[in-house]
Amino acid sequence: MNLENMRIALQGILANRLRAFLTMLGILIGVAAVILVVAVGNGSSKAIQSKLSALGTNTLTIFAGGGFGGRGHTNGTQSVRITLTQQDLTNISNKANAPDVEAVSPVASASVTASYQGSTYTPSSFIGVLPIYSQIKNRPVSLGTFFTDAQNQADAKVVVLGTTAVEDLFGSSTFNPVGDNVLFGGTTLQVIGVLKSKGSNGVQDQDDIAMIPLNTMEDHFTGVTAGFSQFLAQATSGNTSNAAESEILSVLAGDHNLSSTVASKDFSVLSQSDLLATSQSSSKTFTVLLAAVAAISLMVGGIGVMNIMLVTVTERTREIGIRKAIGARKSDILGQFLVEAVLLSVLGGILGIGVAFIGANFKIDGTVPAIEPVSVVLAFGVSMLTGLFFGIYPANRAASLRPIDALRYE
Amino acid sequence: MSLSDRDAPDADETVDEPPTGPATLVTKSAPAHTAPPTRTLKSFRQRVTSLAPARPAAVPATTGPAATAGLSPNDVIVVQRVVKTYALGDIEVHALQGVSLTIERGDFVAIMGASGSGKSTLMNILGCLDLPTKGRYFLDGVDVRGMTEDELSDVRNRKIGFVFQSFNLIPRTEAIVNVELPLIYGGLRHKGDRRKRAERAMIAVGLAERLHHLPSELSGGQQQRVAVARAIATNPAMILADEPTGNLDTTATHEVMEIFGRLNADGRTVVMITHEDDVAAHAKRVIRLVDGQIVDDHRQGPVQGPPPRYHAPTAIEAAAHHAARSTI
Repeated sequence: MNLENMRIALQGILANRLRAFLTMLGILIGVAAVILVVAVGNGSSKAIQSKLSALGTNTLTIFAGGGFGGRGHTNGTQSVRITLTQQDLTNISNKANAPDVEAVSPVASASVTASYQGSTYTPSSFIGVLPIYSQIKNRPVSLGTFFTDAQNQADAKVVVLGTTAVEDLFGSSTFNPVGDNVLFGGTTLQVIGVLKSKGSNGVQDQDDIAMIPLNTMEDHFTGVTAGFSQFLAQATSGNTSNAAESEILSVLAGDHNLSSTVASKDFSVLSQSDLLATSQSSSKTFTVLLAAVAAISLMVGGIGVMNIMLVTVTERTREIGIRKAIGARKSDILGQFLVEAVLLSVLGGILGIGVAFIGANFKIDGTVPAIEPVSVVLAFGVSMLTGLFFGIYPANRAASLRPIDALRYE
Repeated sequence: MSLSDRDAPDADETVDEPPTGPATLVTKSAPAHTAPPTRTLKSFRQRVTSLAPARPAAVPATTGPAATAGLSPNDVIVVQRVVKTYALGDIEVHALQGVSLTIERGDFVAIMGASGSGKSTLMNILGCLDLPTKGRYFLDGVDVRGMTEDELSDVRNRKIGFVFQSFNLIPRTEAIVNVELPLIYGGLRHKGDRRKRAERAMIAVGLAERLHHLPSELSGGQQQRVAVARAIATNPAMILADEPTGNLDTTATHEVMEIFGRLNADGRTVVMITHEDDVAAHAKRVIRLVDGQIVDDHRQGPVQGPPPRYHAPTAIEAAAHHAARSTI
């Protein structure tokens, strides 16, 4: 296996350009498919990731009630109803109890219909929150201001709208409604701000929303209730969200006199990373499936290489005989044809990588493919191994020819 | 797959210094063989290299039975009662039926015979392309019996220069590269040395101007001369030519025969298979085969010295020759 074999192999390929190109095409398509499929999967998972992180990084959602099975646990024969309380809020907010929690806000929701000069609209999400919620959820305003703690204390009748709400009420999402009064149920609220548009998170339109101060919600919509159904908390950083999660659970266990196992049943703390993991694992499964299909096409390409190498060996039987007669050993012939097979598939692989890089510039099904360097290396390596694997049989066949038979071959 | 385990041909084995005579060569290489190597497969390759181009008397001692066979260091080819049998289905074909033959260094031997006489089989055995069913064959003192395929490849590479009827150059490959091929397979890795030796061989056949032509760009005679250059590139113990002029016209035949004559006059051993009488007339010794047996073996000239001159057939002879050939 030396430069000489390389030269011979290149010569063999150049002598049959069209045939070599068609053979390479199989590998080319396989390699390009593998890289592109992985790139699309990678691109879509990156898109989901960026959407989720736009939701507010490090956020933790705390529900009363474990899982979706209903709230409370059974205490003997009595079912105990568990809710999140004002005390929970105070204790979680306390840095001494939960050092990794940056901020926390209850989320109280209600369902109302809003009307403005004859147009009505029911926001899919109408929530009462603390001003800190804007920071926790990463929802800054694009127009006007978010409400303040003072406004919350004062039960101010103010509302911050999402752009979908603005569009439904005022006819245009770019309309500036700040200062206008909108009737929510029986209460007139003044629009003081419009949230920056965030689009859909894949499940719901995040701009189809109206936010009011928590106290205003309790006083005018839900009434002062014994507790809250949901808190939204923010960990100090992405790395501390797990620590924050367990701190919150232990605070809740203390507040409600529950053992930690019961607490984790009665309350659930969902982090953004949990959501991320779920969505990524589903997209990963999809990518693996597609990549497997692409890998099969690469294998088919390999069979093409084997086929053409068998033809080449038959065509060059006489040449093999000559080479053996003048002293080529078995390994020399083996090397020559193996190098040719590997060269064929590697050239196909390189072209395939080129095609994949060109293809990655186009949006595929709404996703911008993001080429994964590992997939390029892998696809290239596999194409090389394909050549080696599918080249062995033809090369061995060539190397095993008896010189007298090969020389006599016409 | 590397060639590194193969020794490069000896530095002093250069193409422009063909063996001038057996006497000088024996004295030259005799000291190297005072300690005969043991016969192991492993040491074989080394042996092939160190013994080339001439083979001293040390060999018979190392190969046991051969010692009693009375091998002379002057014998390039010693064939002893060689039988070759092919199985064609249920029928056994006896291609060679006990052929014994000794060819001295510097001889020019023509082997003649009708088709089916076994001359191709003999040629395959002499060329180490095939092994005898029975009997022994010593090539340049080395017993080829029981050799593996790779060992036979090495023997062919070092000791035999093939010239075929249909030239058998590698297509789409420059003439000079064709000539370099046996040197590549011989493990001569230095590109410059290889090129230099190949160039000398090309000069020796008078094709210094055609180094970079492809075989398809050369005439039949030129292609055959490239093949001769390739055959002598490794400075082998003998040149084995299988009807080298069979595909050539009279002019080209003349050219090629002249080259063979010159190479032989320089001391190279030439064994040529032919069925053309005018070609055989150029040999120092003519052997005729019939039904796998030697029926005639006569000498036309002394082993030493130049071979009888090749006389191109006259126009009438050539025409008759052509007519005879075209009727075949």
